[in-house]
Amino acid sequence: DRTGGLVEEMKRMEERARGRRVPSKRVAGDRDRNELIYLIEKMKRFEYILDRAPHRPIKVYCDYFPLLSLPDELITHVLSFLSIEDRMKARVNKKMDAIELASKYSLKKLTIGELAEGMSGMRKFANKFLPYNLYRNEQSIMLRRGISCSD
Amino acid sequence: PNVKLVTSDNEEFVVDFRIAKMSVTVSRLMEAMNMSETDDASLLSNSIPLPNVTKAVMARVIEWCEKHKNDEPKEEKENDKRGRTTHVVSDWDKEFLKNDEFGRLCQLMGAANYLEIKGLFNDISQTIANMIHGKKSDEIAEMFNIHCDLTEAEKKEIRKKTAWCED
Repeated sequence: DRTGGLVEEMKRMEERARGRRVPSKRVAGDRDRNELIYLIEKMKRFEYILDRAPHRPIKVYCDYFPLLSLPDELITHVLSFLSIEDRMKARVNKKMDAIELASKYSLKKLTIGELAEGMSGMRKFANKFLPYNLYRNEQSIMLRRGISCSD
Repeated sequence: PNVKLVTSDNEEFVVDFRIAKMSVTVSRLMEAMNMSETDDASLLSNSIPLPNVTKAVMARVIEWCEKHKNDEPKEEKENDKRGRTTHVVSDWDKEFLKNDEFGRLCQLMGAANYLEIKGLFNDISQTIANMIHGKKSDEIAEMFNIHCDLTEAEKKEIRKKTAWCED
């Protein structure tokens, strides 16, 4: 066995996960334990993708919500339930960034302001507090120079 | 009157006409097949194929529909002042969705979208949005197991643009 018995061990773990009693067997060779865990995680994710195909038996296990496996329009719909600041923070990789950039917002009022250059202390203060604390009650969002927006 | 729904794994579900009508997709299919509430013969002789929904997911969808079959249709709400859609998830729905493992929840969302059951779809979307709400970028990436493929320059650019919303 070129895999040093890893495939067999993974199959046994799957059987045990289904509730069947399968005797444990020591993995042959000098494979690193971390590698085994990595391969098992990889297999779980691969099986999840297979489960999405039609006519596959239901067997899902995922210890996190597979957000990126959703189509873009569903991710956009989820993001529509978030405030702008939460959406900005959700730009954690290229896909999420592209989805966010393609989104459109509807705001009742929008105030665009530009802060003076060379006043780093004031600017930091303004960045931190102006958009929310001062303008929140006026139902508007202040955008700094450099933030793109449409409509 | 009852309607027969057939899932991708050839499992047949017999559901009340009112429950079947909660799905816009099923409703349209019934219209296309000339199935009406008053015509028992058409309901008995036809079944609605749902190739994108599996047995296990369909069972969960029907459970949700059973609970909500007597609900009044909700009015469309405008986005709130912070630009987000507003949707309130009831306590029963929170408990219902809590029972689903993440992978299953994802399938349930896909089914709700395909079947066009707006209430269930919004419930799940709001639940996921609640997971994201108030989290920092690195916490979001960790929670959804998202690998960051942004270059340093792109990260810097995003940080620059989102500095106003960081704590």
